Amino acid sequence: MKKLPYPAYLALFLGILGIISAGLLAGINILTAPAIKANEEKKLAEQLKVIEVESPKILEVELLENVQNAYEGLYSGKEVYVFNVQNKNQYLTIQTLVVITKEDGKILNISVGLPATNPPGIGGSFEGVKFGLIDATQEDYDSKFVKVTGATISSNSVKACVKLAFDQYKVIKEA
Amino acid sequence: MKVNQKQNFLKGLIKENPVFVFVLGICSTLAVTTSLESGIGMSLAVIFVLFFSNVVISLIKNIIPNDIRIPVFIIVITTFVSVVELIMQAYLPDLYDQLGVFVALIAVNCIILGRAEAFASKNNVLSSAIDALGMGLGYTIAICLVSIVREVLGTGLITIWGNAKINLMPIFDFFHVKPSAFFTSNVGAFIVLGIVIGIVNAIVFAVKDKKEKIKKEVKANG
Repeated sequence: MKKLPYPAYLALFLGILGIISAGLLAGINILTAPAIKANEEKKLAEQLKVIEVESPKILEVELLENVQNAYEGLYSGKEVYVFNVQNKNQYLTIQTLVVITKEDGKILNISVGLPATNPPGIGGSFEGVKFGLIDATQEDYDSKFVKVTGATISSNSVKACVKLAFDQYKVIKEA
Repeated sequence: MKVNQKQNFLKGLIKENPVFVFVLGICSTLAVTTSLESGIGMSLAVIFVLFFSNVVISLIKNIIPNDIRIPVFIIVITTFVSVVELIMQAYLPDLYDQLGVFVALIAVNCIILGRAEAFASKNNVLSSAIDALGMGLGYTIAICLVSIVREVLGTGLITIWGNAKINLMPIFDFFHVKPSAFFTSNVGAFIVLGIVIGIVNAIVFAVKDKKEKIKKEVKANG
């Protein structure tokens, strides 16, 4: 048998090691995936409770990319949709729950969550922030969205999440 | 290489403590020592990764091409970091949230790569496993010590795990002082770590001097 050239041997060695590593991780992933999913659902249910959405029900609709879940429920006596939207950029991931009225597509609440994998400090200015533009339409948001001072990256991420929530709202309405 | 396993284990605790002597793994030591609970969680994760990466590297050391040994070490280490990350995310979600990005950053912890390069790639599996446990325990001692000092001075509490807490506020009340949030801040972390390293090294040197003095006296007396 012809001997492999040295660089090819090195590549083959790393390739085999990579495959073994990927196999091990795939196995662990299969084992832990149900528990991780259950934890995420629990966390989301707690977040929905915090923003006081009553009797949330998962909507079986076609979801846009980065829209993780869509719910329907009651908020302050009004029928609403709740969209769980994620925005990722090179700095951070922001997860946002956007509450939009079913009838006229106005925002009633926005709740921002920061996954644990974000670098510490980034996005922190958005935790617990109350948004002034409640009962706003998409146009209001496009023109008057208030940025949090010193948090340009997270402000833009939240803005992108809100836009995506409106897009998802349109998809549901058109369907 | 023949290694005395007792010495191999004990060296990581004080004599070659990765944090106090080599000043390695400082990033996580500074970041997660705001409470004893997160310190313990981080230590367990580091011991897990250190142990398995040392064992695997020692097992395959004879077939690793020398030119790519560092990438190979990195693949092995990151694999075990991902394993610990998934397990923590699934079964210890609160701790995972608390430690945040620092779980993934174990992959670049110098202690682990350092032990792989300096020890596991040159010694047998048993020695490498014992070395990992000793170094891991040394890291645990360091991180727990810094956590306790910071948490007590910063909050007046020691959080062992979950709701198991020791309240030291009565001691603060007795001396009419209050805990200061400064110690749980980043600046406080640097200052506390510096002071703890100083004190530990002062004690170690004092003990060493005393031992040498006794040895000299014994020699002089015949």
